Amino acid sequence: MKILIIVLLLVLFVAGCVGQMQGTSGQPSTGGATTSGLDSDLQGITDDINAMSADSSDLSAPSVDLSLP
Amino acid sequence: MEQTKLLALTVLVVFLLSMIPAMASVAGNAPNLTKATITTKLQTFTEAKAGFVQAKQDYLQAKTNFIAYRLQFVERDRTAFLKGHDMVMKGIEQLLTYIDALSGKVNETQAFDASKKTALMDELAGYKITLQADLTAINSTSNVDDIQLALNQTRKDWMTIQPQLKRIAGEIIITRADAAVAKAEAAVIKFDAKITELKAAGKDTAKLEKISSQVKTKITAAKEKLALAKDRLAGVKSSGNAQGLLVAADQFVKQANRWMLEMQYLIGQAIREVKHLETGQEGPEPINATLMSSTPMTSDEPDVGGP
Repeated sequence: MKILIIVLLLVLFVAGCVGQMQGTSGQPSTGGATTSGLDSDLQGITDDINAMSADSSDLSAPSVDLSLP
Repeated sequence: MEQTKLLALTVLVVFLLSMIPAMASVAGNAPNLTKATITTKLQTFTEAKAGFVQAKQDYLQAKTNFIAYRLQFVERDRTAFLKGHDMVMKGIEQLLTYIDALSGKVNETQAFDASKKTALMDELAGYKITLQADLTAINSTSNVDDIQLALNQTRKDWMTIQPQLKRIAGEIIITRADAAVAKAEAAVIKFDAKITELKAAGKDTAKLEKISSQVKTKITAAKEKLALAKDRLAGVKSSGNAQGLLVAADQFVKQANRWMLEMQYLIGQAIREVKHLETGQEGPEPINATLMSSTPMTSDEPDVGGP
């Protein structure tokens, strides 16, 4: 019985370790938590500024000649 | 007996822990739904934009077809009239698809709240009704004189509508700029916290403090220009000088964009310095953002000659 309990506790420990790894795998590996947040801020700023250019291009008003000779 | 209780307790703990991922998944569904809505709106815009691109190609083809019949049109040739009629119809259809694309973009712009979106989309729907009436009027013409008369009204309507479309496109661009500046302000708060933390750890933060101060200067300058651009755009709807206000707004947004590029570069440098102070290693140079070459407030899509 004791062996069974030990095995269950071991399973619990391994599951906890796997869960921890999954929880952190989506974060950038550079720097600490705050630096990762700053990396994300910089990416967001870059994306927004680039979107200004992309939207400008997408939303240029059409040039149509509304006259006939 | 004690061992059985211990076993039961252990099994219960294992079971409860196994439920955590499932609970996390349920909790994560709310943001996923929001993401799905955003994706749908983006797809609607993308489809509307594709419709606009197709309409533009159709118009240019109709225009090419008409150019060969220009002289005959003046002589009231029937075939030439039909070519001219087709070109004008395709031209207005292009304007209508542009309004659809702009409306899709308004709906997709997350920075606009629901009431703002409704107001802008209603305004755009009104312009569509006007142009659709012009399209119907032109469609019913059967000779050169009638189509010229109908076109007078269309030109008049388009001259009223076009500045307002440019104003709305400008407002969309400015929301992007506002979002970037807000993120930069959040980053500066984090830099200040980092400076305090690193100073307490005995690190030399002089360089980081200098960069952070420079970022603040760029943010202030960008915000000042964006405020001026918003002020000019706000006047477009009621002013008799809509074109002048759009040109001014265009210049202020371009100036803000330049400050923002410097702001973005410096934030990248500040992050490098934070990492350097924390780890002693030099990180890679950050990727610079793209400078705007034009804004939709003054630029029209390039055309290829005219009849």
